[in-house]
Amino acid sequence: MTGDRSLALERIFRSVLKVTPDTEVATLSMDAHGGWDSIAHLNLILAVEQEFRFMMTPEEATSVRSFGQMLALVESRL
Amino acid sequence: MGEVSSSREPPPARHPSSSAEWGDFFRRAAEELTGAPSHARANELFALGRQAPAAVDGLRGLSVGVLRNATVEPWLPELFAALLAEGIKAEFSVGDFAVYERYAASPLELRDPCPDVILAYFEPAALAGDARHAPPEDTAESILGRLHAVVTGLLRGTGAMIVVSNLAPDPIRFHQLHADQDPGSWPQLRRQVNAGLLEALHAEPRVAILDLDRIVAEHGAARAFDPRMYLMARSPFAVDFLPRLGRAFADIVAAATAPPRKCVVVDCDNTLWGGILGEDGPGHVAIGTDYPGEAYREFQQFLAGLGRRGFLLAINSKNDEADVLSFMADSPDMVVRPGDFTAHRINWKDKGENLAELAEEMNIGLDSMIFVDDSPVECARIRSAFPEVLVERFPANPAEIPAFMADFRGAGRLRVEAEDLKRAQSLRANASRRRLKRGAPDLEAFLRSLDIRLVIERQNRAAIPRVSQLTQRTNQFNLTTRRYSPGDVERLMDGGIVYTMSMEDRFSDYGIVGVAIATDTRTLVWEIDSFMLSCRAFGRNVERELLAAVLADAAASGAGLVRARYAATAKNGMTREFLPANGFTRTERTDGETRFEAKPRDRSAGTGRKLYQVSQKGSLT
Repeated sequence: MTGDRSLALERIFRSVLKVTPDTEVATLSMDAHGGWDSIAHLNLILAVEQEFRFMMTPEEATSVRSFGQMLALVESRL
Repeated sequence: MGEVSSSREPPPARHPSSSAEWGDFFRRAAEELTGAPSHARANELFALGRQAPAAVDGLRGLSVGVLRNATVEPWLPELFAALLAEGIKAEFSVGDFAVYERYAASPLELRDPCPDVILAYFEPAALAGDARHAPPEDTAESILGRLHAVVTGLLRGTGAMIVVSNLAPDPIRFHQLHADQDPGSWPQLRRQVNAGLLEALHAEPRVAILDLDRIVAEHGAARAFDPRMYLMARSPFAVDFLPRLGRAFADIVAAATAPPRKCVVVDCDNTLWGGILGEDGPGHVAIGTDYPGEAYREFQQFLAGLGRRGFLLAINSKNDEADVLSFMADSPDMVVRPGDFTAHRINWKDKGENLAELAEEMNIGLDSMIFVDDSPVECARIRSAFPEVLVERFPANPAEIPAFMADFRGAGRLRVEAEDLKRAQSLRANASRRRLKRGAPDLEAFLRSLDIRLVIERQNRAAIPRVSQLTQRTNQFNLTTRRYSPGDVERLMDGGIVYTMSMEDRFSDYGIVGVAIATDTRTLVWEIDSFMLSCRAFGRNVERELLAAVLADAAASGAGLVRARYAATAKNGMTREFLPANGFTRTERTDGETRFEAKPRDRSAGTGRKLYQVSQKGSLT
């Protein structure tokens, strides 16, 4: 199950963030990736919430800053 | 986290390589997205849109500027995808927050060159601010004044089409029971602003109102907004509302910029009524005031309304012609009668063949037709035979008819010109005119018997929407097939002379049927940029009168030469000989384009004076 979610999440990250095909998404973080700006972050949250059908609290939405943290958040809410 | 790093990489995305492949890719992707909305996928498409070549096969390029006082960036992928579904590949520029007036005064700061379409979005909570709570008396007037000034400024400063949103409910709502019904309360003032906006702008040919108030209401305000995101990021709408918003915007843009549909062709059995007339018999098909007959009656009323708004109606049905026509004439429950249809093909032949014949009989292109049929087979047949026809599959289940009508595409023309209403009437009058034609001994006598009156006008500004419409629609008699927006026509009037020709005969008033556009009219060599005649006026030689008027004006202005050109398309073969047959000499031929010139000459050289009454309006200078 975790693997499926991880794959689905990876697809979302690839769609929303401007990453090259050979980028390792699993290690992506907001600070290290230039394309992950505030608008991309907003799009990412909306896309993740839509895909996994849950709503983040404003605190969650602002504190998630890496792929790993997003996956952990999704896991904790499903 | 181990599973994450060991997860398989998705196969590397293979991007299209040619312009044709990109076109196919975008169309397919947009269609998939319509069936299964995904913000992630929309984002991906949007990013690919920026990587793709500027010109993509089968898609029109369009630039969109967005003025806003809220975060609109998350909408752009859905706007992009919805426009793709309409055959448009858009590029967006977004203005800074809440400085509408700056862009109204200097539009190139938004995008240079100026965008084709400007969306001015006004988020009501940010617009009205504190005034929403116990509003001061002049709240509605001052908001309306601001909106109006912004739109007027944009109209003055640009040639763009302006799409202005009206005021939806606020993302942050507060409920005050009866206080909200007070005429001075914010919900009531918001309605006043919306009504005032419509009143002030509905007649502007270059303005369309994005009715967010209604779209939000239809979607449900509780689901349309994301108040949490509004507080965090000034982003008002919920992610699941964005496709609806995109579709509404794309509908407006498509209706304003694409050649409009003119004709709805319907099936009979299980479309105009429930059941099969030939099998069930006239007394047993469903039409009337009980369900399911009521559902079909609603559809018939919808069709009749389209007819009154100027759409041509036609029937294409596999049936016995006499049975259908007598049932439609005699049944007390029918809303549409045989006389409401301009043409019909009720027989056992192939529906594709029938459709092509109907187009020919009504003198319209297949690309202006909407085909409505409940049979998936017939729909597929038409889609593959004529991709330019808009196919609307009628639901098998009558309970789905309301949803079908709510989503009916192609009939959403923004404005119905008075001209459209005359057209349906005049095409029906054609039948009796054809009978007269058979009885008349020769063409000249026939034309004289029609008692044709022509009015040729220069620079008729009130006709700008109709002139634009004719340039968009006229395919057959059109020398250059250049398509112009109302803004373009305005500019052409400023730089040259735009001629319109209206026609009346003893059967009907056809309104404006011909347009000629002359440029370089302040020089010694005039150029005929465009010359076209509506199919309604074919077969009367009135086009010669319009050409004669242009040549006479050129002579009066002292010009020594008039140039013109014929640019061949798949549809305008009938005009190939028009210029040489009317005194023009061929000077040059390049691929697909032939150039001509003629000496200006006064009207005495015209051929038709005795056949028509011609009057002219508007000055030459």
